[in-house]
Amino acid sequence: MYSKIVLAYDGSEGAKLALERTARLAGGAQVLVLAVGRIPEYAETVSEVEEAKEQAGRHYQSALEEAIATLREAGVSAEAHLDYGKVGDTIVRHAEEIGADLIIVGTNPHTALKRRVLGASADKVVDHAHCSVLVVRASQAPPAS
Amino acid sequence: MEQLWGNAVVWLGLALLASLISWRIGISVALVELLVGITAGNSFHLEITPWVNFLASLGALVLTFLAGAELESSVIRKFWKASLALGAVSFAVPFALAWVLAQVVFGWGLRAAQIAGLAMSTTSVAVVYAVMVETGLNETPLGKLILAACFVTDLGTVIALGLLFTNFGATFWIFVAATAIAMVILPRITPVILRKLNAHSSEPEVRYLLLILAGLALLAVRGGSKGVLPAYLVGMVLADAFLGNRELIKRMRATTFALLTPFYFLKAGSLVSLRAVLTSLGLVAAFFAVKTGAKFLGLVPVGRVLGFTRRVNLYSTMMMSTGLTFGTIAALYGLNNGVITKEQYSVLVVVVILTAIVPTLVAQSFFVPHAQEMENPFGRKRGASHV
Repeated sequence: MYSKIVLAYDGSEGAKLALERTARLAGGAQVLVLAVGRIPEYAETVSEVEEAKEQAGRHYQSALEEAIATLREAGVSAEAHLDYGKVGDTIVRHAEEIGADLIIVGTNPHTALKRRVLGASADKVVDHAHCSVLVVRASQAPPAS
Repeated sequence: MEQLWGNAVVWLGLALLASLISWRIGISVALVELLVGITAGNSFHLEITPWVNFLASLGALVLTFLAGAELESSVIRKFWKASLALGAVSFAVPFALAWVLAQVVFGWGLRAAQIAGLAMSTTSVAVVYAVMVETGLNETPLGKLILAACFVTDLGTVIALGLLFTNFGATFWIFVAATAIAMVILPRITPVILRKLNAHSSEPEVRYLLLILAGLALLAVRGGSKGVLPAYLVGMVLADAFLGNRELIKRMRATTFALLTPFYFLKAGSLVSLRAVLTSLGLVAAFFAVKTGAKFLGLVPVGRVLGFTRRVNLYSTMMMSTGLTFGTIAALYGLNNGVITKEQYSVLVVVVILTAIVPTLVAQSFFVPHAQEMENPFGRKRGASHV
């Protein structure tokens, strides 16, 4: 049904549920598992940005490997990619670049205040994506079949 | 003694608060420290003690050194014509126009108007770099060219700040000679010293660099110049030595970010009078307009001569309209030395903060170059290798 899927993955509870859903939905689709490391905006020094990139690399490396292993076990063709920047914008940009027809994101419960002040990456993806978006909520996801 | 620790608790508490906010919202701690400083300074009496002044001054010195040490000399060599043209214009036009605006239109004194020109002339390599990492532009020829040009602009600002208010007496020339000797000798002996000291737990390499910076700052101040000038120059000539020693830069940055720069940015923010800003919103708008307008006026024609595509030209101009650290350094120098009033300082710092945020937002929203333009920013007219 889908040919190219972007799965946004950060290893959180919501992302793990999104991973399970992707494994069930993907079929013959090519899946890009994307992790996005945040780097400081309006930085003081270049090395500050570089260090943030290194930390993100260390943080997401094993999470991405686990996600790829899970998808391949389910017979899904998948590759991992780590990028840096604003999470929502970066997911949308990669989806556009590869011509994805579905983006899958997990979302974790936020308080109303936190959501209003900080926003949620999933909101940005839903608002700006060029293709369909499946948002898997951590608290509402059905049990894996 | 009780007062000392009382002050320490307040300042370190603000530093921690800024760090936590920065961590939570993903915005650089420098900008958050400025904003926390503004809030604190306008809410209660934040005492600026001699030890706060020392830590803040050393923070500005080391931050300037680190900025210089991030130079990629190979990139400057590769794009020297284009980066020199863009960087020089990016410094000179805003400097001149902001100076004229302040002196002729707003009636500021000559020296105060020069400080305004300096604060408006800057770019921010780090702000630009962080933005470009998001699109991968930092790895492309266009990204490297813009960064190299930003280095040239900041060099212009630092040199001007170091020379504008100097009386060029004998002590000044001693300082010039000492800096020149340091720039020749340090790149030769520093790699040897770093290898020998080999990351001992007492951090002798960091102490060695701090001693050099403090020594040159002493000579600079005695000569009527500023410590940031030799700090940036020494950072530039040591940049290649640090390329193979990123661990040292990391340790030095950790020391600086934990103990020094919070005091610099908190202090710089705390001296901003919000009341003065609110009664001078017209000045804020005028300086912001003249800074970004001057960058357009100078850089767009240069970009055309270099053969930039329209989108690349607008993007690089917006990127080079940013500013943060050097803008606040110039303004704070002016305030500390009685060159500008607190009201003038407040206006300049708020404009600097705005220029860190607004141009990058606009550039990322409307002018991100296409992939092909990132690889060849010069369109059909010429290849990057010819510049």
